[in-house]
Parts: sequence; structure tokens; C-alpha cells
Amino acid sequence: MVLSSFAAIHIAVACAAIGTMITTAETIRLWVAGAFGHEGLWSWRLIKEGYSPSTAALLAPIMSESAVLIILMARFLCSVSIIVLYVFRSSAIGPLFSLVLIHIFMRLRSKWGGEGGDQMITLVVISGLVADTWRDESAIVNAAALFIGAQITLSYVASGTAKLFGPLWRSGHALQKIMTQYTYGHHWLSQRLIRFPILGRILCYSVILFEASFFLFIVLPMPIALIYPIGGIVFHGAISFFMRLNLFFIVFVGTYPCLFFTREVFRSWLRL
Amino acid sequence: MELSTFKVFAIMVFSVWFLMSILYQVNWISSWIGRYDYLSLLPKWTFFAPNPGTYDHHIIYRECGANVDTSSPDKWLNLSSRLSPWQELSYADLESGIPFLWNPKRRMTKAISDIANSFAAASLRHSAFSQYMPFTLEYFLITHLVQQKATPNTQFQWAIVRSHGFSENRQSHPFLVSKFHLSNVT
Repeated sequence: MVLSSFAAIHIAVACAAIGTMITTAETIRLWVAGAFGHEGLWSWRLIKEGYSPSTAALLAPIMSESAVLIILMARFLCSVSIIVLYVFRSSAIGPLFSLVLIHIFMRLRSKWGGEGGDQMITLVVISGLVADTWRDESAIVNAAALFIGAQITLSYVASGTAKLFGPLWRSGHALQKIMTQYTYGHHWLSQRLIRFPILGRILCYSVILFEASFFLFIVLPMPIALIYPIGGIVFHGAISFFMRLNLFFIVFVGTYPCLFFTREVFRSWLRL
Repeated sequence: MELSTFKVFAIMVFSVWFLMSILYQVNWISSWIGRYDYLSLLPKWTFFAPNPGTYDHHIIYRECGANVDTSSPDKWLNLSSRLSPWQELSYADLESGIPFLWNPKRRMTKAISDIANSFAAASLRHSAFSQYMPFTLEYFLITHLVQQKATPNTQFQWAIVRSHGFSENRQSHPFLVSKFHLSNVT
């Protein structure tokens, strides 16, 4: 059974909303630590220097430390209300539109510290807004779901292809080097990779092969094609656990229903 | 199925957006288009590739009396006895016992890495970067951060160092060193 484009988009948006709740709660924790205040890393007093004086003056009322907290709380509430509205099979145009506006705000306010999970959330939320707004227009809802499916496929293929150009990835040392650092590393895994270099090579080549060949999910028959989504769940679970990039799992795996929808559409076009 | 003009327009927008996303994965195109992508609508999916970051970045600083002559790098060499040891700007209070679920610290460390990488990229692009570096937003930001931590009525100097590994004896390499600045006056 294949999910409808509308259901696929809703699952992706709901997972993005859960991811947004987590990342917003974390950002509120940073706010409490003073990161958005005058003494913090995201001090508006300094970030405004990146804008022209007139733009900075225009933005000033919504960029203060207290305004940031209000907007973060609004983002959290919007994310909760999206899930509640979807549970009751209602449209979530209002909270989705608010999340798009808050994305623009956060982009202007937080110049540093963004990550790939944020990018996927932005794409999913905008696509979800379009799908909810024109929910009776199947062509538009299908296009939104295909867009998300195409973006997740591109994310793997682009990342895998780029790794082929990296000397550390080709030599099989990249994962050992990445794991041997505090920021994204993991002491236990790093020790294993140093002790067993062959394990590092196998993992490097597996990641490259998995990512660069991800488009095969569309053309391979079932159940062989399931290697890719199952591999993706393991891959994102490992990233979340070992690299502590918690947003990646819920947001990326949440787009998989759109991936399945994209597969069915392309296979029907290709007459497979 | 008949497609109205509006539907065609919506499908076109998604198609163009996706095609632009493909092009954006190419570095020279992304550095060109990125200047106009004010809202970060084009994703860059090349995670940890082609050259993954394998270093931790740390901001460290040291202090000396407000009346010490620190006007030129030559004079810094003779100051060792009058300088405090280097200390790190730490965000240990943001650490979590379950970082795979709850990890507020990662935004902070990522921001510091982003800043360090922007310094590195600018120094590669412009041979005279060291001359205008003190006038960049990133330089102001780190100076401002350290200024809040430095002892009042002193001078301070900060540096970004890179380290690799978990050992307490791991090597740290200075990546960028600032001039001396006055701390807050009480």
C-alpha cells in the first residue's frame, strides 16, 4: 500500500514539528544561559553591525533579548499545535505560516550555528504550508511531496558524491578522524576505529556507497529497495547517537514517506 | 487532468527550487548564488565532505596589567612573566547526560566552528586578511565575548586554537591570535 501525497507530507511535517520542538527547547536553554543577551554569542548589539543602520533600526524592536524569548516560545507552541491539528485532521496553515516567518526571523537573528537539520525543516515546513493551503489541488500536493522526496534523495547523493572527492574519505580515515574530536566525536568508537583500521575503511566505503547510490531506491524492485530506507534509519540513528546530532534522525527519517511516494511516481513514469 | 495556470506556476516553483538546489551543491556556484540567498532557502547537503572537519575549536584568552606596553607583537615575546596563563572560554554548563536526545551545547560549538572557518576562508581568499581582520564582525564578536569574562581593568588577548583527539596531552595549535584589548573598566 502506498501513502497518499497528502499523508506523506503530513508525516514529514509532524516529524519536522517534533524536531522544531526539540531544537527550540534547546535554544531556550541557550537563551537562559545568556547566549542572546548583550554578553552572549548571538548578541544583537553585535549582529546588527552586519546590517545597514536603517535595516538594523527597523529590526531592532523584534530582535531584543526578550523578543527572542517570546518568538522562541511562539515557535514551540506552533510546533505543538501542528501536531494537535494533524491528530484532529485539521489544516495547520496558521502555525505553518508562523513557522515560516519565524524561520526568516531566526535566519536574520542567528548568524552562526545552523545545521543540516534546520535546512530540511525549512523545506518541509514550506512544502507543508503549500500542501495545506491548496489541499484540494492534488497536483500541487503531489508536487510538494515530490519536492521533499527529491530533496532527501539529493541530500544523500550530493553528500556521497562529495565524499568521493575527499582524500580522507577515499583513504578510509575520515570516520576515525571525525570520531577523534570532542565536537562530533565519540571516545569509545574512536578507540575501536584506531585499533581496527579496517573497520574504519569498511564504514567509510559503506557510507559513500550508501549515499552516492541512494537514487537506486527508485529503480530497484521491492523488497531489495528497502535496503536504502532501512540503511537510512540505521545511518541517522548512528549519527544521532555517536555524533549527538539529535535533529537529524527525526527530521530526515520523517521525510521517508515522501521518499516512498516519489519512488511510486517515478516508477510509474518510467513504467517500471 | 487539466492544469490551471496557477497549478503550473506552483509546480514550476518547486521544479526551479529543486534545480537550483542541485546547482547549489557545486562550490563555485554556491559561493556565487549564496550571496543572494538571504533566507537560506537553498540547502547545502555536502555534510562532512569532501574534507570533514576533524578539529575542535577553542577560544582561549590571557590577561596582563592595563599599563603594560602591548602595542606590537615584538613586545609580546618579552611579556611572559607578566601574562596570566591561557584559560578557555568554557560552556560546560550546557553539557547534557543524554546528548543524543538533548544537546543545546552543539549550537554553541557549531557557531564557534563557523566563526573559525569564516576566518580561515577569508584568509585564503585575501592575502591581506590579517590587516583588516580586526575590523570584521567575527573579530568584534569574539573580542566582545572575552571582554565579558576578562578581569576588569586589565588587558586581554584571545586566540582560537585547534585540537584533535581526546587525550589530555593532545597538541593544540594556535589558529588565530588577536591583538591586546582593554577589558571593561569598573
